[in-house]
Amino acid sequence: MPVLHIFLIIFVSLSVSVSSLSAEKDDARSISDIGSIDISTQKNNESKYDAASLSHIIDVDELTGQRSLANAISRISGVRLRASGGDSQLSTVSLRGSTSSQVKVLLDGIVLNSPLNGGFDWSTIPISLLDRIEILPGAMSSRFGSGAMGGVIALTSNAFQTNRSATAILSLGSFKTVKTGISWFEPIKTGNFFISHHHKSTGGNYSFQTPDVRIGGRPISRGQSFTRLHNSSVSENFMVKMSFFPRSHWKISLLNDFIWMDRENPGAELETTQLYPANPLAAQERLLQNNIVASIKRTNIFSLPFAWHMTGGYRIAYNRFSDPSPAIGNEINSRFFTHAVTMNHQLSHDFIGDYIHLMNNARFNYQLHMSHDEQAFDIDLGTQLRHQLGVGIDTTISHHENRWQLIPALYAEYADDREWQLSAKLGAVGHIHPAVAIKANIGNAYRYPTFNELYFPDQGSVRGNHELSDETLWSWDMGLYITTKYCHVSAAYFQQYIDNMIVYVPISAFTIAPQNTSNAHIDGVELNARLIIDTYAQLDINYTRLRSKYTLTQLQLPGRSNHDLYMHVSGTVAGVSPYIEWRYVSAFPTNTGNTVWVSGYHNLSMGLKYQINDYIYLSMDIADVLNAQRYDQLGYPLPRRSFLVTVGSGYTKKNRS
Amino acid sequence: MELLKNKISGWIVIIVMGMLCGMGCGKNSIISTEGGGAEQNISNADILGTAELSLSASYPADLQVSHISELENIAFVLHSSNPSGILPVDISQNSLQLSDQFPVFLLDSQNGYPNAIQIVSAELGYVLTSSQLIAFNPTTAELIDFTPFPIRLSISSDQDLYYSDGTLMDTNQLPVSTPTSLTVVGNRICVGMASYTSYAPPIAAPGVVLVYEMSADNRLSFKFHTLMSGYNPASLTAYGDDELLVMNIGVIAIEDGQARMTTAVTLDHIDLTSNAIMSSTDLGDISPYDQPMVVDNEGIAYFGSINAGNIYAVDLNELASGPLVVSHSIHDESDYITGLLLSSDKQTLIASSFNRSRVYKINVSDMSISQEYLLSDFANDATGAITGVGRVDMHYTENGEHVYALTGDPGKILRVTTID
Repeated sequence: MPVLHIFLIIFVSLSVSVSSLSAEKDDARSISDIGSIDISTQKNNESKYDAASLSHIIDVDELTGQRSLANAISRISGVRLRASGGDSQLSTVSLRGSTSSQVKVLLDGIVLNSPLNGGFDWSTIPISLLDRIEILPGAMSSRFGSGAMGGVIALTSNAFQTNRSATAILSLGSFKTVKTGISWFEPIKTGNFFISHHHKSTGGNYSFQTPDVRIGGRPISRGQSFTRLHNSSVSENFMVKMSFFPRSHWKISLLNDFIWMDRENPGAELETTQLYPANPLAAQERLLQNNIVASIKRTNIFSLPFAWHMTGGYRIAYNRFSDPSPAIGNEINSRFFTHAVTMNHQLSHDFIGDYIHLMNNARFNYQLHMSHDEQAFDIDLGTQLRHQLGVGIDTTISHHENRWQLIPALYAEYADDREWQLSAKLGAVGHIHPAVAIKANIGNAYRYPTFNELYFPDQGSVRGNHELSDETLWSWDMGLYITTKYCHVSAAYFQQYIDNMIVYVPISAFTIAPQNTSNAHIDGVELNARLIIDTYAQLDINYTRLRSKYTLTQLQLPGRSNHDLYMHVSGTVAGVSPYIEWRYVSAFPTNTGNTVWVSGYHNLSMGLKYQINDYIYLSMDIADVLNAQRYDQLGYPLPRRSFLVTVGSGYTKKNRS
Repeated sequence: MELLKNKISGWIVIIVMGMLCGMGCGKNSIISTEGGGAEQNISNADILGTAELSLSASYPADLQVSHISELENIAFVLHSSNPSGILPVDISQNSLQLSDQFPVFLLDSQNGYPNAIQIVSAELGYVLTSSQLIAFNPTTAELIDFTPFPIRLSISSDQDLYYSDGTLMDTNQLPVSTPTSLTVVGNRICVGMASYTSYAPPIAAPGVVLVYEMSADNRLSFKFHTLMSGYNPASLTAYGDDELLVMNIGVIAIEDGQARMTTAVTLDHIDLTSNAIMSSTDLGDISPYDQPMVVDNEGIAYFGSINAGNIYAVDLNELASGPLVVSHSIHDESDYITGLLLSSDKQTLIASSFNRSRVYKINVSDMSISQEYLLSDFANDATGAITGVGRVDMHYTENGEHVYALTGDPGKILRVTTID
């Protein structure tokens, strides 16, 4: 498949080079910049789900050339990426100190979180499939139901364009990484059609150093060099999206996204440093996923200010994990299917009075989650089924000049294997100046335990716990937004109180199991600033101050840093667009007892794009320029310095003037 | 001209990037037990005992407090990972700290996962790992020799042998896996091998004890093996100068977090000079732990339970006739007694409890608990997590006897109490 892509990229490049001879140079939608993110929550770019949310909107067009979706969103304050190895290994995301299963991820309104473990693997979706990413931090169950405790990340797939366009991209990089992508967008008479294919493969193996270790202040070991083996992966992603406008006030969209991934799993660090080669590294994971999303919108019903939006989805995932020689226990050979059916209806009504503008929404959501395995295999989870029914209402009450808004929301949800849950939220927005807005929210959220947490069969070393209570949270936050021509600044403060947090802990000398642990309190400050120095340069600074503690012991939650500072400088000089980004993450504990800490680290990356002409660009990215060894939240080593060279080509049919 | 300018700008940026890349290495992250700043709160030694030292990884494997004069006041901690090796801890001061006098012996990446330690002199100690037996010098922290364990052993038995599930072994090649225990008897180093062939469901071949000797030229040499009467010889106890007591604790199934013996528990009495099993006793329906027994002056051996709060006692004077096991319950909950010590006056037993994260002082006379110490960072285990107390050892001083214990998560060594 990469060979085909290389051919296509050359073909498209040649085609657009020829056509560029007559093209207008100022056509804006050729190839987007790399290395910069549009982080803005200004009045005209606020969340389409909740105007009061202290949200961040990412325009993915400006992210083309970035290495991964997870890396891109982890630059936002409050968002932390949890990688477990190379580019294609499992990566999850935390919002405001949450666990990955407390972050609800949506693709065009359809839930992507696994019903088995509650998380979402961010390595499975290429960034270029997306048009927009909304990050809504804080308690959001009042709109999205179970799981939206740390917040919601809503992904929107590539959107409607007016002209025919095509793109092709080829990236080659360290660790034998090859990425290719092609896409085609075709307007048709009553709609449009989009198709794309992305390929990614990597040899994956990378060198790392074990950490220097100090006990009681004394150094006891120096880092040793190893190669993190058994890291290769290959994945393919096919997406087709169609939109139709059969009649006025009607819009119908259909999307199908197919993902196939085959990757090796290197396991825990000690499997490389202590057990290999006596215990071979042989774990392998195969994933097949297919997401189908259908969306119907009808506005102006009966010529009245009513709108109806129905989203239906079906997601099937097949996961096969095999390890003939695990570090503990027998050969593993497990196969799981998960199915998720979603049906969301939203009825909206707009009322514009003399002084008040009301936007009322009533929602009905149904979700069916099912997982089953094949009985012949070792892990017998059986068939698990959960029906979730939710009804909700929310209203946006706006002053007629839109100077203030009040947004109450209420949601009730029933799951047939759990208790009823009720979630409420009150948001407020005040525009105290054309350039200044303040927002505040207070609300609660909850999460039903996952199938694995509840029902995972007793395997000796691990088992589920069917006596778990739902996780619950209540939180409040407030923020200030300043938007001018030369700067976008936002500052937020939040507090979260979490009850019944579910954590896998040792329950005996032989077994770990999920337990509802001590309550936790998380508060923090999030700052985002973009200074637009000139049209040629801009500076982004994002900072997170997080304090996360168990209420009982006042010990810090493991894997959470107190400080996270990110800076990004980008600009354009004579057709060359370089960027430099720097990140500082402070020390964090790796255990609940806070006795073991991984020191803070600095990370410097840079890159540039050279725009050869309106249609072809060449870019180079260098991650971790200083080659420092970093470790993830569990203390697993991450790749060090790496390179990625990309050539991209795009074509957009011009409108005749 | 514009193209040329672009190219020049591009090359300048590339050169700058290259220079930055060539600036050398950045600062690698380190792992530290010192904490991450003012908010760190790791010390609660005041309520736990008199001193503690946090280790850099969970679940340290083993502990031995030296009773050798040249290694006085040193507790050797077998650290399981990050890094794996042997940490000499100075216990002479009020606070515990790594020894200034003795270096850390780090295991190599090929050495396997640590399991047990036994130090026999100032110049010689042994480490058992998942794949090797290692000899080292505890004074200089130098490797002396190591030997990998065999994968299979040829056996010649005139009796049919069976796997633990009742299947007849149709080969004379005994699968050897899962080293479980280490004991030095005289100049013989004895290693118990559980010989699991499957963990889920748990199935094992009969256990075997491998016997090694250290030669005059400091080479570990395999001498012989002894086939046991049961499965999983996880408790080896030196008995006299040339004898070994091997408790075959049985094949273990883990159910609902607790160990359950699926086969009979037997006690084999072995004469190491003749490599003969002198007696073999079925100990009945008990669930023994995987540590050596402790033996008092009367010949009564005590050992703990792997799934209950029980201390067992057996009279070794009756080995030949088949002794009965007496069970004493110290509490009614499920538990794993991870270590047992006998005070110098033989009047007090010290038992460490994993599930209850406690150390118990037990009067031998009536097997009653005289005192207990909670070693958990979470009072009443409110998180549902078990800190877990692992191995214990004792240190004798002029002031009395001090007990040292390892905790699982977080990994620590603690001085628990003093017996005046």
